Amino acid sequence: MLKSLLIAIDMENLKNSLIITGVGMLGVFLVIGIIFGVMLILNSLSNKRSKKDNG
Amino acid sequence: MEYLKFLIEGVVELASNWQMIVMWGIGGLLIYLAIAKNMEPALLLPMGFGAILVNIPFSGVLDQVLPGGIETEGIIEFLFKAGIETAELFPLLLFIGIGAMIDFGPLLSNPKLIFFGAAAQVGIFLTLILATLVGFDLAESASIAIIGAADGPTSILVSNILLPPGSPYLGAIAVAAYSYMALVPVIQPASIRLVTTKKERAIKMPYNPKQVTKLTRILFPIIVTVIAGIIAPASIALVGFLMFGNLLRECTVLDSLSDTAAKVLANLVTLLLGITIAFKMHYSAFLTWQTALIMGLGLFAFVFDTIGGVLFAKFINLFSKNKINPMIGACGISAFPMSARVVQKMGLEADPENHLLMHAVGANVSGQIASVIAGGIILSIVPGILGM
Repeated sequence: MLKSLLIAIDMENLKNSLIITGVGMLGVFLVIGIIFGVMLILNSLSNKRSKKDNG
Repeated sequence: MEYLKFLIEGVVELASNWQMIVMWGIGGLLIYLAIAKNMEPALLLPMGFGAILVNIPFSGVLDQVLPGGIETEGIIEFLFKAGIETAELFPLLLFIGIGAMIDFGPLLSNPKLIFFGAAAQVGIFLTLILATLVGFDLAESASIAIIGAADGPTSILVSNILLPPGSPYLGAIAVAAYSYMALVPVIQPASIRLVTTKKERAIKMPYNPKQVTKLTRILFPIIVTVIAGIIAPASIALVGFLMFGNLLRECTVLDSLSDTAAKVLANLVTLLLGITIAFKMHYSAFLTWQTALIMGLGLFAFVFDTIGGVLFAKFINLFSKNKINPMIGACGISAFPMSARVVQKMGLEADPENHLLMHAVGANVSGQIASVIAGGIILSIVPGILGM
């Protein structure tokens, strides 16, 4: 039964969907990670600026 | 007698295509859910009414060839071609309105929340694999999977680009995306309870907001657009229009434009989008077993988005001194602000003094960013693999 199920699955499609899943999640985390870095830089610059303004 | 034939033609057509009456029932159900249950009424009501309009025999809202070979253009078919098919005009305009509504302040004051947005996109990709396993081809699977973006305009835009013209699935995908968004208050609590204990749900998170300067708020949408555009150029329309709306809001010199985008534009486009998408709800395309399968896969996507976000928060807690309430991970989906409200409510149920709203809102707006990025990344990868 498992064998017939495996035959019914389009292995090429499955392989491609696994590739998209891996690359896709990696891509989402990469872009989000870069945006995170930018947010940290923006926050630290604005902190420096407000410290300068206050002091 | 020949001239009176038109009086009964509609009835004859209806009798031979009884499925149209079933679609009236589905349209009526969507209208009922919109009015009586207040479920995404701005979209489900136009979609429901549109479903009735397009399933009237010889409906004048669709293109028709009249006796004598006279061709007429139907308004809903025209709106679909102009507003969705050609350049995804309606979903993109809606993004300007959504961007103008969103306050990224809670996210900017606690940037690490953005990772929950990324984690909660896992449902999209797991659904892609499952859809492939149940027999959809790759473009169809990716279009169905994007329901997990929990973002109606993104679902419509991505599936409209990936699906071949004439594909019957766009209507089912739009209905699934919007129905499940409306069902977030039902789907998310059940999914969260599956993978959390009451003790975990009661974890308190102190809220110490940092001041976010106006310059940061202005630079953020511009920089996000550039980054997303460079890495995933296919996402630039989605991200760019969202961030353009946000820039209108944050620049503070265009308050009337920002207000118009957030209220008038968003309402107008929502109205048109709902009734336009009904073009894909003709019985011949909608009443198939694949529609039921798409609804099931959409539910799977929402559930695993939620579970993915929660498990990611638990994973972070393994290494973190300041514990995060795992429910915050569930807010990484794009359904804003329903998801944040659900988590706030569940936090209070676990402990009446557990206020999570601001953290939840931060994670929820990050879901909005991450979902459009996920949509853009799918648009970048899938056509390449398919050789489109």
